[in-house]
Amino acid sequence: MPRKKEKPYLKQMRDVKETKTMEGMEDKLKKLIDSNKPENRAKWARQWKSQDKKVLGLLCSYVPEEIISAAGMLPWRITGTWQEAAPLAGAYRPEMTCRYCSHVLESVLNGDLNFLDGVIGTQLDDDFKRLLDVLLAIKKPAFTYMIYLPHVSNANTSLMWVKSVLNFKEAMEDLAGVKISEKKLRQQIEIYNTMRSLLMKVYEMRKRATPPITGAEALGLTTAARVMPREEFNKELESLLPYLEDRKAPLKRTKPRLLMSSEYLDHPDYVELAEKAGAVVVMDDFDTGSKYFWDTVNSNSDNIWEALAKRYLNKPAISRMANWNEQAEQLTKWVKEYDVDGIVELRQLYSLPLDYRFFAMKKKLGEAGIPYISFSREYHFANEGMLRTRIEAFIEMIQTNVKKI
Amino acid sequence: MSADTKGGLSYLEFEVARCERRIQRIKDNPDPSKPKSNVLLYELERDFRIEQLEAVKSGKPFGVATNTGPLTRSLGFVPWDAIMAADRTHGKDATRYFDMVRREGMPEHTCDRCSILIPMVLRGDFPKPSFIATTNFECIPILMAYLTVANILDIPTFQFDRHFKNFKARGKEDDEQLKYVTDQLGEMIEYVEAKVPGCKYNADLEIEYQHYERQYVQQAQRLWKLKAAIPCPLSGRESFREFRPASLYTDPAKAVEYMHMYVDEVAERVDKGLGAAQPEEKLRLLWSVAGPFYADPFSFLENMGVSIPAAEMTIYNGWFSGRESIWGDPWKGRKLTPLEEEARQVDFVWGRVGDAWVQTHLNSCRDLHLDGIIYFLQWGCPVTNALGKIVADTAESELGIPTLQIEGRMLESSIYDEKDFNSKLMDFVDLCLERKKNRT
Repeated sequence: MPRKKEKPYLKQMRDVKETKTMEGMEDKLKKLIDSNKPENRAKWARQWKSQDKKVLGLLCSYVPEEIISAAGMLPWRITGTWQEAAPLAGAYRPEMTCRYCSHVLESVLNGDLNFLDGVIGTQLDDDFKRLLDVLLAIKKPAFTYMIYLPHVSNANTSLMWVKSVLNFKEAMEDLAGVKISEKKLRQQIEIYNTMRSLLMKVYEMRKRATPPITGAEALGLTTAARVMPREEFNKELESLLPYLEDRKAPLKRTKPRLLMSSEYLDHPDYVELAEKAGAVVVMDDFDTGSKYFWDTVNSNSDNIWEALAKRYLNKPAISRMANWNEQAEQLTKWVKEYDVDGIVELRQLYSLPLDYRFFAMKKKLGEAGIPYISFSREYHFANEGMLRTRIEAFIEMIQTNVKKI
Repeated sequence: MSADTKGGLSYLEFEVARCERRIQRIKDNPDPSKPKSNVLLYELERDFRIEQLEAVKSGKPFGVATNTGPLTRSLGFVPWDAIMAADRTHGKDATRYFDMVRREGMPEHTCDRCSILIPMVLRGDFPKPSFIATTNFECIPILMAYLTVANILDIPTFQFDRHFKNFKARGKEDDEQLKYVTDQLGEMIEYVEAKVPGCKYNADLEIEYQHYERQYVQQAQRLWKLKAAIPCPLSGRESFREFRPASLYTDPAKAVEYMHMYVDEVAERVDKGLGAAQPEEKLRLLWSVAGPFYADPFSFLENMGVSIPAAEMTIYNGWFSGRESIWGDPWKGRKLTPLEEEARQVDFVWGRVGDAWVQTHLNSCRDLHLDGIIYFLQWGCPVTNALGKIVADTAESELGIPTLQIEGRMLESSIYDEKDFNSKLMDFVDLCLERKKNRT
């Protein structure tokens, strides 16, 4: 039967609909990416609170969030104020202490985080330990909990970490007034594993010659995941995947390809800086990025608590963990997988682990022949011109080297 | 920063010569205002550096297992005390080392002693270790500085941890904690024996060294009681002197002898009613955290009638006051094994949760009848810096005494302004005097 020719006005209508759908998807993506902007980030937490449910602020990517969710509470990653000044926190913390911790304390003291029912962290480093000490002392918020996190993963420490996770579970049960059954935990693990797999798919797409999203957009997505109810985030991201399959990131250039490295970085402008300077950030090693969602919990395990603990302790480590060789190997692996031309590391001012690790990293990455530059940044977005110049110089150096080869 | 292959002699040779000079000076022209026991102390220091020099020449392993304590020696190591060696590298030498790390891109704000030890060791001015244990019981900068050295020089390392039970761990006898640390120490011994030629654990030697540690700290406990005397018999510099464990020294028996003799001398001063503050003691202050090692704020304070009976650092005042267990004390009525004993002792107060650090200040102030606290906000010390206000607020509310939080660097003197520093001290002294008058 001969195919009926489509009437011109129908084709026009379909095109308009597709364009509208495309625009709709782009809007949806933009909305998701902007979730952690100051004006948006507390939105879901407040909705959650309006249902008489608790919201807990998290300071660290090692806190097993599934437990909090299984207790019916919302785990919400704390972003400190992006304002330059932190005068209230200055009374407790001298200028030269971890800026993320100071900006978090500022947000606590100025009332921005009054909706939180508690703050959870680990003794990630001395700065985080002392931030929790101060919160406990000033009783703001009413509940503060510090989880013990080992500095290495071996038979002894893994066992203690499992105990630490179980103690945390009990504390969450007490706080929420519920029992966390294995069934509830398994349900949450499924949700979180889905979130990780979805983000993993997005990161897989970043391996393409022209990635579907910029590095700054990727950070927007991973930080969105941590302020939204995870099921809602999953639905949003899942519906965007087909669109992302065809999307090309709005980039000036697609070369050189950079891996950006940092810790506690949640301001996308820092990532955008490298992209404005003429590179594309195709991968990150942020605890707020890849290291937040990398590796899933083995949901088939008979001992689900152990499986949960294992995932958190053995995921790609941040610099406070003592396995610097493995950290360098992980970076090297990502450099190959993502066809990276160089690593730009932005060490947050006054945060010591990365300040020390970079000496060792310089040696290890140098031996691997990977161009690497490391310098300091503030927590809030600052010193744009200076940083941009340094990144541009690094990009030029990489390009010169590529030409020589 | 690239490593140098020099022998690690320059620092040690310098220290030997410095000790020799001091010993000679005391012998030739003894200063009656200084303790006679200083000769023994300098001999101990000199002999330790000579032991290290000989070890470098003969290839004997250097290492640090648990804060250079008995376990280090009982494993067959010559103690590698780079962190303490860095403490003695201030003034121009410190600036020189800082210039090196700065050139490599290290920021200004990291802890002075931890920054300095890196170029000291990498350049070979201080011996390269054969093994480094890294731990979480003290502070992140030391852990990170050790990891840096180990990673750059490819030195075997072993990380062992104490754990934190939310905010509940406060120096309590915790069997689970004890077992956790002891098990890790056992693993560490196996690791060292497998990785470092010439190292073999000797439990008998460890018991012997722990016995010396006990005697040594018992003398320091005698000293704590003497410090409470009015006027305080110690000068600020004496109070501030770094406490080095007996087993660090080549001859720990001599270390005990030194401590005994020194405390006897202090007791004599108490009997005679002698004090360092001039013309009379008007105030007694606690000095906390660290201080400008290149300057002498203590004499300045003493000339205003202010004595400094104690410095608050690590766990020391807990040991001295008897609030923290010392080597050989029973654990829930039983004697600990040598390794358990070691595990118990790797627990410095400032590495714990903040409340323990706050409480030790209050205890010291109560024990020694103190009128205020000088809290040194040392650049790059995250373990103490963010607790200054909590210490100050608690001291004010519970004891009614003020705290001065004063910022500065420990070893790098280029930004130090003596006039400015001393004027802050002077204002604080006035405030304390006023407050004392109101209290009484």
